[in-house]
Amino acid sequence: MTITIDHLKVEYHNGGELLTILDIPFWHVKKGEQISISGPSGSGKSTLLHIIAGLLQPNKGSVQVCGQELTQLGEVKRDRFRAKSIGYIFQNFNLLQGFTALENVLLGMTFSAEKPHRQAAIDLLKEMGLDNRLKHYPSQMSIGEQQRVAIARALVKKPDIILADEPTGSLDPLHTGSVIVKLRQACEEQGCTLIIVSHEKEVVSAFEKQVCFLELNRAFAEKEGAA
Amino acid sequence: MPNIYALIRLMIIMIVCVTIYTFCSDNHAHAFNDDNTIPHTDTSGEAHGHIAYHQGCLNAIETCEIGHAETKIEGDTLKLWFVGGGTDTGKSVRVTDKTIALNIITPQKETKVLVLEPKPNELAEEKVGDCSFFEGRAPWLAGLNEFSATGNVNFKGMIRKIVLEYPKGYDPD
Amino acid sequence: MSLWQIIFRSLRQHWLSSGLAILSIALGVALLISVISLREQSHRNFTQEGLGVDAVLGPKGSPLQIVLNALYHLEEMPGKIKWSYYAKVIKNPIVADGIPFATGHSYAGFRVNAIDGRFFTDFEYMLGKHFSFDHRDGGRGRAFQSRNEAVSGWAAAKALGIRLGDTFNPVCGVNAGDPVHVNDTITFTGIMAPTGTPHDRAIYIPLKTFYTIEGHGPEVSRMAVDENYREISGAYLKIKRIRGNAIHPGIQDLKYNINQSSSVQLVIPNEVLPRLFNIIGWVDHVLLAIAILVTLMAALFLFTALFSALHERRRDIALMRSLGAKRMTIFGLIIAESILITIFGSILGVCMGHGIVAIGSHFVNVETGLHFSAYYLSRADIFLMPSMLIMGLIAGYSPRFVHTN
Repeated sequence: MTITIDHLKVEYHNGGELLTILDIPFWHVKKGEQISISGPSGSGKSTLLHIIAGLLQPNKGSVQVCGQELTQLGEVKRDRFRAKSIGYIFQNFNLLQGFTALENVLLGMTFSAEKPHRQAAIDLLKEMGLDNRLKHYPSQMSIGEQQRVAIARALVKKPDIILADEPTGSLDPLHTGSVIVKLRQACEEQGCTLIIVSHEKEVVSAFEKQVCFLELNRAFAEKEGAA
Repeated sequence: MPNIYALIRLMIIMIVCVTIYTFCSDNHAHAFNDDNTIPHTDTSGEAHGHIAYHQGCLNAIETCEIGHAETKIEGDTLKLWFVGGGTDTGKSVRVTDKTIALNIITPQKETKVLVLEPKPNELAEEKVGDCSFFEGRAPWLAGLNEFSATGNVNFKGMIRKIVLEYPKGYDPD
Repeated sequence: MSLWQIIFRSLRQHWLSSGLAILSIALGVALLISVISLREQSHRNFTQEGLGVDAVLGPKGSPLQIVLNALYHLEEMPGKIKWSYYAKVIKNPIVADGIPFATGHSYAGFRVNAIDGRFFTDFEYMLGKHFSFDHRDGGRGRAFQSRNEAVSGWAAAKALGIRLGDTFNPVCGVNAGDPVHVNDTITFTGIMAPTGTPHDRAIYIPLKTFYTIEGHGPEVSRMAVDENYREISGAYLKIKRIRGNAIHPGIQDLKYNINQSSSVQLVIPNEVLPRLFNIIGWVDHVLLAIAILVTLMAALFLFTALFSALHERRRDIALMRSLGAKRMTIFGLIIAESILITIFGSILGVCMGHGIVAIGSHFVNVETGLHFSAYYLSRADIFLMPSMLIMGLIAGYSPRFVHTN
């Protein structure tokens, strides 16, 4: 499953001014690739992930993900696509505080067409080394454990693509390394594409394919150039 | 997903049922009053706004404030009650007359004389010469739906002219 | 996990705001239910039943006073009427029956009414219901049969701890400090089964006992034997029926004829009591308005609680959207949560409302003998739940204006 972006533009009107957030002429990601994207804050990295996940629609251009032209899909179909094919990991883990680790992982399957598979969720948490944390709430877990739960939640529905936005941003260097290793391992086992956005050198450098966002996003490059 | 549309449909059905119940209960005209008496529906003679307690028609005696003669025909009998003026049409007024003669003009322009006899209300301890209710009977009264009549009565200490317009009532004001 | 689990877990997570919203709705609903139930039952007690009496023959005076004394054992009769007049009235072709009575005595705060013995055999306090002394109905003993015997209503017996065989001396009057007939000791031979009417609050002695009580003087004693001389406080009249169990329409003519008398009047309770309600109706409307206002305030609180909860859950909502939840799914979760809060609050409110009615009805029953039921289903019970559901729906819908992406 691939991602192909062609002449993508995302613009916002800010008062009378037109602000271009993304201007990507072309970008292609192959199935099963593991890519890191680095770039300064405010360069539009998260926006790109939102476009790929179908959370946002571009103003111009084409976004083909897993054979679907997302710009042609309505909101409901994009939601369905995201539920089935995209796993998302956030910087702040974004676990639901009122749910246990197991329930948070099951949430990852709740909105997809498939029935949530409890045993798959338990197995995944065990793989993450959280077999004794199944019934614990996020407030009862360490930061590293919470991030592993988030990873398990993203992986449980066996998505085609994992999008990770600064997944280690809140972790210390000790946990950063282990989390990235686990994430890459799990993605390799499942054969899903991994796109990770990070500003941390040690995270970016762990990947063979590294993308500099400044080179990818013409809009930011022009802005930086103008500045 | 919680089926919102089914929930909304159910609530609409409940609201419709409750609305129907609310509007159907207790708002329609009753066959009987709450005390099971038959409602007063005959409003003839009430044109000037006073209640005819016997469902007859009210005829002012000279003026509305002096008093009224409430008149009703039942079969071959003409009934006449002397009652108060203004809104006191529920209070009887006794007269000393031992009989009352009415000159009745029918719709066919025939003039007939009918003599009314006193019928004292025992429950009010009335007697002849101190009576508020009079009755007159004649075969030609049966089926008579309209007439006008005149007479005289000693009403509240003075001889006064009675004018009857049946069934619409008489109000010179 | 299921969406219902998400909803319940969310309610639990925000237990404080959810709990307060449920409680405020419950309070509003309880107030509405109790006010409307008491209002409807009051109206029913005072206007629709007539307590088995079609008309009361009594002395000239305030018709309301006649009804309150004759039927509710309150106030005092404004005078007396002649037995001979009563005898004339019951011979009227439209009168089916009459039960004469004499009021003016009391015992320990309860009215002692002298009444014809047929009150316990022929009189129907409600359609088809006669007074009962059967222990299976909650009664005891029997009706009085001789001069020095009395029967107590159920509520009076309970309040005074009356048992069969107990004796009392009636008070000549209904006020504190009135003289006691110390030489007339009367024995309770019966306690009526509860009827849920003000008759439960009275004590009854034979009519002739009224005239022969020592201390009333020879002019009253003469009334026991001389009907031409006898006076009574009044009489319950039963009017004949025509088709469909309607009261004979001649009752209005009878009323007119009797009311022309200078000393007697005929009062129809079902005409008098609605007028009373019209007078005090404004109080009832104000109470209802207050109850509605409280409920609206509860709705406002619900709106506020949902809005603030939604704000707290912006992150959760964004997370669920990123996991693939459709906008309508999120909307459905919020609506369902709002409706659940409303349902819980309404159910709690209905229980509390009926509890308030139960407490209030106890006091009303003790003071007036009127029967109010905690289980009475008023219009509020019927229309409140759908109304509250609509309110919950609106409350859940309005935060939709907050961007849920």
